[in-house]
Formats: sequence, structure tokens, C-alpha cells
Amino acid sequence: MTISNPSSRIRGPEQSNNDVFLSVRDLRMYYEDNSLLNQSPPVRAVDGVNLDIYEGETLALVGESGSGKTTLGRTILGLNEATGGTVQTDGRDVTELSGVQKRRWQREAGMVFQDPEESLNQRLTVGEIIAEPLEAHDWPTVTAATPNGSVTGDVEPATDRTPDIHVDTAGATLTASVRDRFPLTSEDVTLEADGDTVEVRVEKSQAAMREQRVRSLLDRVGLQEAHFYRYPHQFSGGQRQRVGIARSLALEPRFLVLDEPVSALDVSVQARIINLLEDIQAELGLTYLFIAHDLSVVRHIADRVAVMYLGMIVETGPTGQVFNDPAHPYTLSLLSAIPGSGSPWDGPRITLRGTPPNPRDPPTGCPFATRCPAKIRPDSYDLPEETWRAIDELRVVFRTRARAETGATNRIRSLLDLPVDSAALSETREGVFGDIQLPQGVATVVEEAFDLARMGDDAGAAERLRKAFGSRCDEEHPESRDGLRTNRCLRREPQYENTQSTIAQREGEG
Amino acid sequence: MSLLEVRNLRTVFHTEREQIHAVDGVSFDVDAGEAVGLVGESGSGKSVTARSVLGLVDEPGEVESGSIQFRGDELTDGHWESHRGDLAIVFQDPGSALNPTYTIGNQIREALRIHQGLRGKEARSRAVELLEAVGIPDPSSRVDEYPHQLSGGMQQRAVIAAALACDPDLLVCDEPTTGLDVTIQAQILDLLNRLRREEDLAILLITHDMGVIEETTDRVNVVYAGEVVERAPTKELFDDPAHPYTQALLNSIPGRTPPNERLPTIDGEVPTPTGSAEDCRFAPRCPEAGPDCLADPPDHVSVGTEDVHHTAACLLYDDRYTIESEQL
Amino acid sequence: MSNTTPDRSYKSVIKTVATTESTVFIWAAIGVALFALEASAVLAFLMSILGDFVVALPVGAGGAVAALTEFEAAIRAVPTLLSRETIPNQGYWDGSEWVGTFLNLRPGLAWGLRATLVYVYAFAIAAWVAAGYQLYRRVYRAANWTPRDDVIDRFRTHRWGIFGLFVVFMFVTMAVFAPALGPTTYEQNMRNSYSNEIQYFDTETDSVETVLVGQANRGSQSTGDNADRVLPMEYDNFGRFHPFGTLPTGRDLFTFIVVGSRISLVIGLLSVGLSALLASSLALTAAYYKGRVDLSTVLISDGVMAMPQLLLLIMLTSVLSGTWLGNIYSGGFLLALIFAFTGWTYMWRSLRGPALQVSERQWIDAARSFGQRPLVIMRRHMFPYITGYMLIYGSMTLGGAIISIAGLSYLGLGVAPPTPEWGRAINLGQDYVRTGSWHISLIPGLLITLVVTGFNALGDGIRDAIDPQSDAASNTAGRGGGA
Repeated sequence: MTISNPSSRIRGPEQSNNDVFLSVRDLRMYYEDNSLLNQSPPVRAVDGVNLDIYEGETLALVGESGSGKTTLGRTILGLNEATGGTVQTDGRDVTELSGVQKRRWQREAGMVFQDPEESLNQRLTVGEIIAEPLEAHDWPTVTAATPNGSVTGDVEPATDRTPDIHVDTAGATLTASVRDRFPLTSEDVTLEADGDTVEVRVEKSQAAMREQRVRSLLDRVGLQEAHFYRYPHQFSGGQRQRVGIARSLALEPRFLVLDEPVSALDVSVQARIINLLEDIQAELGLTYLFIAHDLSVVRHIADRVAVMYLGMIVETGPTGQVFNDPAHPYTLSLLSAIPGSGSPWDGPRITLRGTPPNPRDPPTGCPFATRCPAKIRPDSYDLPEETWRAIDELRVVFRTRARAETGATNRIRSLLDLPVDSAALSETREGVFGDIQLPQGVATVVEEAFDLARMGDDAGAAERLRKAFGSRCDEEHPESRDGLRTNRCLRREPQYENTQSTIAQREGEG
Repeated sequence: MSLLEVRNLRTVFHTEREQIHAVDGVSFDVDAGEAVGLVGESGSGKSVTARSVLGLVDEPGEVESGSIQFRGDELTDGHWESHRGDLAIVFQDPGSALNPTYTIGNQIREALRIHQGLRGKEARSRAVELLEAVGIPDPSSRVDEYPHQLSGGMQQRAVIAAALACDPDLLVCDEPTTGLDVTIQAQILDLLNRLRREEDLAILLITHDMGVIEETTDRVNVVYAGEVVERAPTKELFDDPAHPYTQALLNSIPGRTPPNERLPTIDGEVPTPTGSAEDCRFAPRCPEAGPDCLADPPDHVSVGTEDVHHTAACLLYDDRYTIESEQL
Repeated sequence: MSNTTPDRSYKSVIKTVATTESTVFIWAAIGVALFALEASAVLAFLMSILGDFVVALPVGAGGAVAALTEFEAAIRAVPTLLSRETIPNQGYWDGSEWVGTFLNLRPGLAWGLRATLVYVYAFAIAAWVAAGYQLYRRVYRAANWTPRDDVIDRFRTHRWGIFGLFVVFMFVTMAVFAPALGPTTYEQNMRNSYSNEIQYFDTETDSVETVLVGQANRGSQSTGDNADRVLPMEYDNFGRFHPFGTLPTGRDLFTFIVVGSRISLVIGLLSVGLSALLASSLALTAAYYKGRVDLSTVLISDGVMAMPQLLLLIMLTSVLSGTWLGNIYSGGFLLALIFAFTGWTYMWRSLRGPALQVSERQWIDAARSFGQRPLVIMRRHMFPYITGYMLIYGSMTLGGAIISIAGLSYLGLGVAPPTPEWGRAINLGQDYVRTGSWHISLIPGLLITLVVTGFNALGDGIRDAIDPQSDAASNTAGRGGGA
């Protein structure tokens, strides 16, 4: 196993002018649930994503469950069908591909899955698992090229990629040179010139070439030859993940989507796999899309990071910058939630309230508004932070109740204009506000909302509160812009105080 | 007297091929109102330890020897029943800890009925109280919901509420936040801290996440291959780890290495302990090991200053040995 | 799993051949010897099947048929161990000793000897196969352990399953060796009974007489409490031994049973095989594509299940009885087809769940991610996980098929008379159940029960052996658990 010089690793666009390898524009992926019986709104797993991935970099995609990061990775690869938007690479939109073209893309892009136990077919040996992509693509079709002339025989002429065999016609004898990492040696190749055409014969069978390739992959990922015939369950988690990595490398891809590749591993095993991934990237010049939820891993391995929330990217930028100076409140919350002294964040700890909204029914405006610790407050009221938070919580309560199924009795009661569930509602009021004293104007509005809820109109109650206490954050969600450092929080506008100081202030208060 | 005293616990699994000493001589204490951590990787035996303490070890495993004393009462020899309400456990995956066909209110009421004898309206209002205590908003409507209607974090809170229903003195948490999002994890850890302060609840926290240990516990035991290899107050352990395994474990955390450096790693795999220890189980992988390490099992010796209870099972610190590390 | 056993996971085959050459040769030699004993019978059987097919083709190639028949006759000339010629049991008493039987034993003993030898041979073949498997597993196979090993080991200790396997094996042997097992043959005793003669010792005339088989049959009828009736394990008035007694027509019941077993087995296997093929293809396709494909398959299967199977059977057998389709194998082929096309829904339903579960696994996603074709994914990544269920439900369905066929034959539908079938034997004997000829209905009835129970037991055994709970990866109890 080679140990590369880490500083020679391509560090992404801030240090070199690398091209954009893949460009995602307004990508949407909705899970439709429409059978004849069920007409619910679709789950918006990916809801308008703009992203650029540069050649040779490691871009990390972070977010929590429900953020859509896994779906985004899968859609880029073609495992899920996009509902809208484009993914451009090499001058084509890969979401529109099918058939042969799609398989070409699937050769160039590979995927490493999260759960090493689940992503390997238990009934196949390791050798068979790694060889499968080779078989599926009838690998290899050996390509050859010669400077002036054409090639025939067992080979195909090389088109875009480097030829596997280079035939040198200069000089008296014909010589063949095989490229690195291809399972052939020049002894296996026989050449015969016929004018301008060179007939190239390959003495090694496809099966033999595949087997050699598998063995070299096993070696590359740190497993032994003996493991060729073993079954996955005979390995530890870390070793199985190595098999998964070897499989993803089989077809010599340019781009790997790594879906939480180390989340299921112990921390010491995790370190080894991370080192392995970095080595491979340096050696083979790969581009990584690294999907993770563990920010310390991301800090270590990623050049740039994109933070996702509810199907949208809320912040992107070079890792160091985003971690030291987060601009979006969600990023800040994520960072501050990391436990322990190994955390990259040493600012105040924010504990987010509540849970992410339902992806079937995202709120209008900024999706994070319901939980945001730096939410812009309307000027009409001047309340302590604690009160604001209680009001936010109450709004979430009403929204949740509005969505939940009302029992039959309640429905009947609301139809008859009888109060619904008033005992529970009073408890809720107590629970949310506790000892907080509400000023007159605020108390009136809150009471009105409760009245509506008592009539069974939870949606109306939520709307009432929104009208009174909502702000720009509930109305608008700024567009994502291009660039290396992006941020979709309204506070990026100059008239607002920036996220970090707002939070510091509010935390100090509350 | 400590609330929980475990001495030389040995739990063995009798499989067809071999005997696996999953827990091989583990000892630790938990005092009232304190949080103690058991940290280790998979295969270390920490989960089996938790289950052994609660008496939940099934065929083909059994608690072979050692003592588990709760408030002075010996729990092995089948005395768990009398203390069922004093110890509670929270498992890793809340989705499988909750029965999907019953509402969470129902499940909490079940615990209340068994341990407190509450029924009917009383039970229901206590259930709502418990849900509120664990920070579930709008608990009175939540109490009638089914587990699948709750998110993962809420489910875990509900599980904790059910565990609290029996009013325990000790809460054993087996990887309670593994698999949960980091913000939810922060909420759950906050909750545990709050419960500890407000209810004077002792917590035995089992996890592989060093960060969680650092945040939540007062004292910590590092477990490797069925044995406790180091024992210290949390801050002390993180500032000054003594055992080579602890050091290696801490070094593997990505946050402790600058981004452009290679992560330090430990070679080899965690061994499956198939017999009593006759030597140091970590020796084959230890960068500091010497020939003595493969001959004698290490005892716990004190490292660090007098008043701090920091011990490590390593011959490096044992005055009787001088270890010159060689390539083993 | 096996952290402590030595690593034999990668062995070069050449090395192992060198060390265990002798074992393999012995095993191979035994195999050759066993085969040689019965070689010509196997070949003749294959020839006859080929012949049947050629005959059945609408374009009857006369020349080819003749050539095949000649070839078949030539093969039959070669002696085999278990044929009627090697150990004959059809002899006659000439006053002082038995003539024409093996070693001049009584016909009953000679028959018993041959029947026992048939079963010994069958078990020898089974043992040889098992030994070969052990050899392969211990020595030759490159992998130290495969998931199948656990299944086989678990099955070995499952007593009910072994019982089922035993019964099924006996049944299959009976069907395969039918011509050699009976005390007489179908041709001689039933089909062409008036074209064959036997000799017997007539006690009245005190000499050896010749009589047509058909006439002998008429003298051996079991019709209630008549004097001539022949009960199981008795000789009739003509010196013939009847292990199961005779039918009301005087024909030998044992021969009837063994020939009938063939039909039952063939029809059963054919219909279950077709069903399984249909059901598994549909289940895999539905599970892979999900959505509308799944929905339409469900609708189709519901539609098919709504059809009354029995009525359809009756209608189709009577409509198609005269055609070439209805004539293959005395209507057995048609029966098998109808069973298959109406009965696949049961298996499909059982396979759909496991297939859907498998389709959710991550390795399917992984295969899709590198562009593996759907058919290959279904075959390689999904199918192996439903074969277990196929075996379970297949073996149970086979039992069900045998009962159905017997039931139909009992009613007079199904397999056309005079072709023997167990259900028909029950029918033939039903009037005499409470009389002295109780054996005619009882014996086939018991046999059906036994065989079907055997199949069900086998299915149970396989299901327990495959039990996914104890499958490979989840033996983490000993690993101490944890993340």
C-alpha cells in the first residue's frame, strides 16, 4: 500500500484552477406516493439544489436524516430518477440518459455504501463481488492506439480515454507498452504490422484479466489474496467496507459517491478507512462526493462542504472557512452539537428545539425558520428571547395538530361548533408558556389562536400566529447563488446582524 | 457504599465451537447521582456488561461468576426480580424498543402498572407528566400516538420516559444516541444531564463515542476485549490517558488530528476472547508492548496523582516490570 | 465465525489432488461400478422418453421411430442388476421345486429379494452422492465455509425433516424403479393380459398347466368375501405372489401401485416445476420493478385464483381429451399443465413477500449503481434468497398435487383409465371396504397419506433448516454486541 504525500493532494479550487467536473442545477427529486388510494403530497427529498463539484476535490455533503443528502447522491448517480433539474457533466445531462449512455456514466461514477454488512451479497464470495461490475460491463474491451495508423485484431481503437496498449511503430521493431494498472504485460501482446495497420493479438483471456484485476484491487484496499474465496460474513466490518470500496473502483471510475462510508464503523477502524480513501484519491486522482453526518470526519477529509436541510443546500464553502466561521444558523447549530473536546467548534452550544418539518409539507419561506435560533423577529413586538421561543413552539404545535388526523369525535364536535379537546389545549398553553408573562397585545393574539384551535381549526390558529408574529423568514427563502462560498440565510443581507453575533447575543440573554 | 458495585463479572457465551468470554473480569462502581461511562469498540463486551447487570443475558450466554451488588444486595443468583424497579435500561434503537402496535401512552402505562400499580386516569396523567419531563412538546396529544408517528429523537425520549416510569435509581443507557442525528443527540444528552441533576438519577452510559462520554460522564471505564483497561475521572482520562489503547483510541478521533495529516491507526483487529486472559489482550497490537506483555496478564495499577482514582491495567506502569518495547 | 480455525480458504487444487488422489479415485470407481449395474436401464428409459416425444409430434416421423425402437431393444439386451431377468420371481411349482425363480426360491422370497436389492441400490447411490459431497466440501472446495453448509448441517439434525426425506426418497425410488419392483409387469398383467401366458401347478391335475394371464386374473379376483380373493402377501390359486393382494379385476395391486406412483410423481413434479418457474419469475419481476408491475401481477393472480380450478380441470380434460395434448402420458401432461397454470398463484403469494424483502436490500442498489442488468440482478442477487422458500412451498405443493391427482382419478376424471393411478385404486375398492377385500382401498389410501405427509415433513425440515434467524451474519451474540 503506498503512502502518498498528503500535501500533494489536490486541495480544490482555492489552490488550483480545476475545472468543474459536475454541475447540478435546480435538481428536484420528489417521492410520489400516488397510488389509486392515496393522494398525499409527494415527499420533497431534494428540493431545488444547485451545486458544483470540481475535479479532484472532496466535497462533503452534510445534513441530518431527512435532509436529502443520500437522495441527492443517488440521483446524481442515476439510482433515483430526478423529478426535475439537470446534472451536467462532460457536456451532457446525466439525468436524461438511458441505455448504453447511462451505463457509460455508471462506469465513470461509482458508489460506496454505508452499511458494509448490507451492501454485499452474502452468498457471493469476495472475488465474485468485486468482479461483478467487470462482468456487467464485459470488461475489458482492450483498446489500442498507434501514432500513425489503425489497429485491428483483438483490440478496439481507443477513442477518448488513454489506450490500454500503445503501439510504437517508430524504429525497426514494433513495441507495445501497456498502461499502468491494466492487467496485461507486453509479453501477452503480439503484434503484426500490415502496412499502416497493426494487428494486435492479446494472449490473455478476459476471465484471466478480470481475475488479475480483482486481485490487484484486493491488494490496493489492504486485503489479502486469500480473501478472494471468502464470504463477507467471515470478515469484520472494516474489511467488508474495504471490499465495498474495491468493488466501486473496479471499473476505474473518475468520480465516487461515498454514502456515509465510515458511519457504521468503530472509530479506530474508521481512521484506517479514512486513510485508505485519502490514499486512493491521491493515487488515482478521483473526485469524491462524501456524504456524512459526522462533522469531525468531514473536517478531516473534505476540501469543501455543503450543508443540507430539508432537501436544500443552505451553505457551502471551503471546509476551514465554514467550520470556523459558519454563516447559516443551521450550520452553527450542527457544529455546536458535536460533543466532546474533539469538536471543531468551540463557541456556545445551541440546542435546537423541536424536529425538522415534514418533507411532505414544508413551510413557506425558509425551511429552518421553525427552529432557527437566529430568526429575524418582526419589529412590531419587542419581546425577550424566551417569549419568542415559546411562541415559535406554539406555532409548531398548532401546525402539527393541523396535520395530524383528528379523531371522529373531535370532527363531529367541530362540525357542531362544540369546543374540541379544550382540556388538552389548556395543558398545552401551560406547558408552552409556563410562567412567562405575555404583554397585552401578545396575549390577545395568543388567546384568539387558542379559540380557533378549540373550534377544531388548528390550521387557522397557526395562521393567526403567523400573521402576527411572522417575519421575512416565514415569507422568503433567498435563492442560492453561484460561487465558492454560498449561504441562503437572509442575514447575509447587509442590514441584518450576522448569524454568529445574533446567536451569541440571544444565548447570553436566555 | 456505592449504588452499584460490580466485581469481577464474567459472562460467557457457550457456542458450538468455542467459549467466548465476552465479559472477562470487569469491575466498576456507580455512585448515586453520578454518571459513569463504559466506552469501547464493538467486540469489547460493553453491551453484554450492561445486559449482565440488568440480568438480561440469554442462552447461550450466562453470567458465570463475579458479583453485582445493588445497594449491598447481591443481584446474581436470580435476585434481579426484587430490584426490577430500581434499575432501568434504554437501548440503542428506539424503533425496535417500542412495540409498533401500541400507542406510546399504552407502553408507558404498562410500565406504570407493573411498577407503581397505577391504573386508569392516574396512569394516564402520570404518563403525560413523564412525556413532558423528557421534553416532548404537546405531550397530551402525543401520548395517544403510535411510535411510527414520532421521529427517532422523540421515540428515544419516549423510551426514556418509559424507563423512568418505574422511578429507577440507576438508568443504564446502551448506546442511546447512536444512530440519531447530532442535533437530536445533543438534545438527548442534555435531557440525561438534566434528569441526573433534577432527579438525582445515576446513569451508566455505554457507548463507543468518546465525545459523548466526555460530555456526559463523571467517570469512565475503558473496555477492551472483555476487560476494563483503564479507569479514571473523565477529564483526567481525556487530558492524560495512560493505557496505550486509550491513547490510540483518542488519537483515532478525526478531530484530534489536523486535517492535512494522516490519522494515526492501530493495526490488527479486536480479538474475540475465547478463554481466560493469560496475557495482555492488547499486546499484539500495542506499539509499546514488550515480551513480558505476552506472558503475564496486567493488573490495575494507579497512575497519576494520589487523590485522583486513575488506574490502568498495563505493565508499563507496574513497578515490577520494565518494558522495552520491541517489534512483536 | 472461524477466527481460530486454520486458514484453508485458499488451496490450490493440484496440491489437494496429490494428497487425496486415492480417495477420489475410489469414490469415482464406486460411482462407475454403480452406474454400470444399471446403465442399460437408464439408457433405455431415456430412449423411451425420446420415443414418446417423437410419436407425440404431429409430424410422425415413422422412420425415426423405428430406428429408435430398434436401438432401444438393443440396449435392453444388455443385462442389468435390478431387472426382472437377473432376479426373476415369476416361476411355477413343478411338483418338487420352484422353477424359473431366482435360485429356485419361492416367488415371494425372490420378489422380496429383488425389491430389497432395488432399495439397497437406491440407498447406495444416495450414500455415494453424500460421500462425494463430503469429499468436495472437506477437501476440494476452495472456500472454507459457505452459507449452504449451515443449512445442511441444521437439516441433518432435524428428525421430522429426515423422516420426510426418507419417505420421499422411498417414493421416488418406487417410481423410478417401477418396472423392476412389481411382482409382474403392467404389460403382462393388465394391458396385454390375454396375450401372455403363465404356467402353474394345478393341484387338481397334479401337473404343470398353462393359462392366459387374463384368465388367471379372473380366477384371482378380490370382490368382497369371495373364496378366490387374494389378500396382501398371499399367493393366488396360480402360484403367483401378490404383495398387496389383487384388485376386483384380479390384477395385481402392487404393480398397479408402483406404476401409478410414476404417473403421480411425474405429473406432480411437472406441475410444481412449472408453477415454481412461473411464480418465481413473476415474483422477482414484481419485486424488482415494484409499482405498477407489482400491482398488475397482483390483479392477475387474484383473477386466476378466482377461477374454479376443479371445474376448469373437468372442462379442459373433457374438451381436450381426444387431442394430441390430451394423449401425452394418458392425459397426465394436460393435467400437469392445468395444475400449473391455475395453481401458481399460491406459490407466487408465498414468494412475493420474501422477494420484496430481498429487493430492499442494499446490495441490489449497489448492483444497480454500477449498471448491472435487471435480469442478472434478479437471477444472482434475488433468486438465491427465495430458493429456500421455493423448496418449502414446492415440496408442500407437490404433496397437494398428488392428493389432487388421486382425488381426480378417484372421481374418474384426471388420468384416463386403464392407466393406473392411486386414486382409481381407491375407487375400485370402495365397495369392498367393509368386506374381506378391505385391502384394495386401504392400502393406496394409507400410501397417499404417508407420501403426502412425507412431502410436508420434508418441507418443514427445509424451512427450519433455512431459518433466516440463524443465518450467517447474525451470530454476534458472542462478539459482545455494541455498535
